[in-house]
Amino acid sequence: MKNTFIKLLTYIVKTRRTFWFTATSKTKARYARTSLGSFWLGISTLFTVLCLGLVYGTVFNVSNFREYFLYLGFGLLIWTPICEAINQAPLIFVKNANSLKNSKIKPIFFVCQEWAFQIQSFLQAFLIVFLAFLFVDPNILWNLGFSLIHFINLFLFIFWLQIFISLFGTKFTDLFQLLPVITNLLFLLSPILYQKKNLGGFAFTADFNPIFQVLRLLRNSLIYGDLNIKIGLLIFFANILILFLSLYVYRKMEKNIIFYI
Amino acid sequence: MDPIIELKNVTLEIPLFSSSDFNLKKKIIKSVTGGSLKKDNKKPFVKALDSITLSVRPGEKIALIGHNGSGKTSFIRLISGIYHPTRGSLKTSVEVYPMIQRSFIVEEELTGVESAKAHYLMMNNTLKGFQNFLEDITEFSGLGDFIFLPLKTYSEGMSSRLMFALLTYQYHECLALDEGLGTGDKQFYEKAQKRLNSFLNKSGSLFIASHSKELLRKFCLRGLVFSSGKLIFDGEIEEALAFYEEYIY
Repeated sequence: MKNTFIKLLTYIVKTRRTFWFTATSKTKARYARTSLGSFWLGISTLFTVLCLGLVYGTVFNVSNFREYFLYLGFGLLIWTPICEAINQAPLIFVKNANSLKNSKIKPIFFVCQEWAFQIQSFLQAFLIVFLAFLFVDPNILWNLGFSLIHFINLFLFIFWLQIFISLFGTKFTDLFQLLPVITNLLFLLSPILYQKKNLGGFAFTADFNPIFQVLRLLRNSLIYGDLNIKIGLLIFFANILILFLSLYVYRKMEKNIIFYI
Repeated sequence: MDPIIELKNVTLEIPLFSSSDFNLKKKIIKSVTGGSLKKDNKKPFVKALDSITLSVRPGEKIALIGHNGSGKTSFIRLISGIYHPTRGSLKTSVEVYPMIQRSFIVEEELTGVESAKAHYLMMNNTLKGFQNFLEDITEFSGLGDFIFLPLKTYSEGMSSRLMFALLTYQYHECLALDEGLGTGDKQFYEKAQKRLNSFLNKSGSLFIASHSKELLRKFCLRGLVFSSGKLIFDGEIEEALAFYEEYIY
């Protein structure tokens, strides 16, 4: 068991250049016929933030629009890869069925590829939005230094989440239909568009919402420079633990994946 | 010489999953009814390979003979590690490279160069030597500047030529080739045959699944005849072909 586990980790490390490259290719392919290319990732987020910020800022009677734009912008930026990862994960193996059935490429390769794709898309969008937000509040540049652990936590979180959902989503095909509903609800029920206090008596639900916790820590570190190192490290170790658990489950289910697709 | 591949009583069962097998509704109903709706523990399956026992020595060139659905491709997938035995033991001391892929790893929007790069990275985990590889496949496939165009602009023949060039660039210690490796148009056919000959001759050990007796006689000395997942003959190639002829008529 230990041996196969090490083999799996070695395989992931060994193929890192390949899945990173094929993930970049996916982004290239997606924007192949556009003149602005992957800049669209950032531009579309900025446009959404501007529209939603104006509407919801008015609805929630926001007093400080500058801060609200940052709050909403970073919230949406961080939410997007999480949501995309959840919604796309059940299709990972089905989309690559041909390669899985006819080559020696292991299923985990395609999970890594999808993960790399989400991370690359996030970083490209982040760069553009961040540059734009520097005009709103130049202090966020210094806050970047406080955010490293929370960025790592976000990336780890997305990785193990994708492993679990890709495995169970391939086996239980209904999940694919259910997940968009869940992500929509999660988006509306988590304090992303609004502040936690707006939940009133239900504010405690945010404390039990793991997605919001990952999102909150990164967002607060970026906007307010909150390091939250203790909780950041705690989440980091929890992420590592769950990541190993997800790889263990993967090892258990790996042989059967080919029969589900 | 020790065998490089050894199968002892290997059976491969492929479970048949209908959508209802993994239907959440069914699972939920089962859980609340204490599983009373469960009719049978046994899931339907196809016995793709049945009690196969054989060993392969280094350098052996083996023909896989049998009609469609007899188990040839399943056998290739099994020895390549794509499938795992349901029962029995399979030991391999070499990397078996399956040549059954018909599609590119990258999206069709990307160019032939990017496709070649992905393929090369997948094989070598590095881009060292990629330039030589690219020159070789561009020249051999005859794509010229088309290599810089997106795959979706290629004709079927062009795609086949590129795929063929990609797959036959590198030699392998043990190769498992399923027939029908596209070779594009007629003009390309002779060139492809030459490359295939040299490619197959240079591979250490070889498995070829084909209906072409000519191809099998040319490269193989041993023949395995499959029928309904069972290995029904294992012997010299001429005897294997004769056995198969007799068996089907």
